[in-house]
Amino acid sequence: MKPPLTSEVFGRDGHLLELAVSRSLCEPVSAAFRRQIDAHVAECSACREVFEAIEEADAAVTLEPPAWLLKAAEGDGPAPATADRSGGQVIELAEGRRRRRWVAAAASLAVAATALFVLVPRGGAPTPEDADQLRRKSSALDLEVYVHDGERARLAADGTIVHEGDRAGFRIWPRRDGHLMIVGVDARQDVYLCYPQRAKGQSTTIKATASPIVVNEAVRFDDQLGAEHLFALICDEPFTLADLAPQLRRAASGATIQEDAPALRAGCVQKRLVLDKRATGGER
Amino acid sequence: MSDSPAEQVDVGALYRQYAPMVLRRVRQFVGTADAEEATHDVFLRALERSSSFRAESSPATWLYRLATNYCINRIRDQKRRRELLAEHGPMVFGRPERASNQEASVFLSELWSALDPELALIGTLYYVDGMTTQEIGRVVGCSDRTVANRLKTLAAKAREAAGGAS
Repeated sequence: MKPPLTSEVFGRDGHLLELAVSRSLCEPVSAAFRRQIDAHVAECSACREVFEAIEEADAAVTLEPPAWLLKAAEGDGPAPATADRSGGQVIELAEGRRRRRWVAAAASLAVAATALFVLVPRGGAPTPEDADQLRRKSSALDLEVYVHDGERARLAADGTIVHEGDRAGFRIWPRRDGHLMIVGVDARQDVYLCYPQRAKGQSTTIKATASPIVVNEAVRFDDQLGAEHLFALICDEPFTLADLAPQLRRAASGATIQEDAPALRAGCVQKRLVLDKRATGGER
Repeated sequence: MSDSPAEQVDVGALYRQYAPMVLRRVRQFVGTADAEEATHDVFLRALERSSSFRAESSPATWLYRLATNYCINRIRDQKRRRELLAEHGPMVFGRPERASNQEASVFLSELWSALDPELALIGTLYYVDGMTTQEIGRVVGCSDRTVANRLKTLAAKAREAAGGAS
C-alpha cells in the first residue's frame, strides 16, 4: 500500500511542491521526506521534469553574498540604499564613465567579483525564428546571447546591432561533459572573460544537460565599437583564458560576420556569435 | 537568546546555501532583471528579521516565505506593479507552465492592492503554488484552520471584486 501523501511534500494536485523540491536539494531532509520525493519523481514524468529543471537551474548558479550584506551582518553599519550598493554582483558605473569597458583582458581577474546576472526575460520570449535558431541540435554546444538595452531584452544573432552600455547574458546548451568558458573579443582585439568570471581565468567544469541552462553572469559592452566576437567553448581538458587569447585574437581578426571561425583548440567544441557594436543612439 | 541578528543567523553561509533557491523564487514574481537585487533584499530581510526564524521551520521554508512576502510587497507597490504589468504582462505573477495557475495568479494580481499582506501571501501559496492548507500553515506560522478561514475571506473578496455577492 502506498503511504499517504504528506502536505509538506505534495500540493493539492498531488504533485511535488516546489518548496519540497527546493528543500530536498538545498538542505538536509528526513529519510521519509526524501523517499517520498524520490518515489514520486521516479513515476511522475511531469514532476521529474520540474525536479531536473530546478536542479539544473540551481546548479548553474554560484552566488557569493555581496560585501555590503556581510558588513551589515557583522553589525558594521546599515545596509546601503540599493543605488549605493557596489562590490556585489552588479557594477554601478562611476559617474562620467558610464560607457567604460568594465571587463577587459587585463582586468578580467579583477572583475571576478563583479559578475552581472543574466537577463533572460520571461516576458521577452524569443520569436519562432529565434527559437528555431536556438534549438539547433546538430552540435555538442549551443550558445544563445541575450542583449538587454535597459528597456528590453532580445535574442542576438550574427550581425545583431548592439550598443555600448548594453548588457549581454548567456544561455548555453552543453551536450557533452567538459570544461567551459565564454569569452569575448572586441574590435580592438581585447579579449575579455564572460564566464566564469569568478574562476580567475580558469575554465569551469560542465556536465551535459537535457536542456539549455542560463549562465548566471553577464557583461556590459564598453565603447569600443565594431565587431564584437563572443565564443563559448567546451574542451576535454581544463584551460585558461591566457591559453586561448592568441587563438581568439586570430579568429576574431580573420573572420567576418558571415564566416565561421576555425576551430580554436584541439579537443574543443565551440560556438561563436559576432555582434555589430555601435554608438548609443544609433540604429537598433 | 540575543536579538542580535548577527548572533542568530550566519547570513553569509545562509546566502551561499540558499541564494539559488531564493533567486529562483523571486524570478517568478519580479522578472529576471530585478531578481538579483530582490535576492539581496530577501537576505537583508533575513538578517533584519532573524528573530522571526522559528526553530521548527527549516531555513528553506523560512526564506521561501520571506522571498514570497518580499515579492508580494514589491508588487503591491502600485507604481511598481504597473511597470511590471507593462513590462512582463500577467506572466510575472505566476508559474507560466501551468495555465490554470496563470488565470488564478492574474486574478490575484488584480486583487493585490486590496489584500492585507498575510492574505496575499496565503492566496499566493494556495492559488499559485498549489499548497495544502496544512503546508501553508507551516510556512506562514499559523494553524491550518486559520488558513482555511483566511482563504474563505479571500474567496469572499474575490467574489466581491468579480461583482458577485460577498
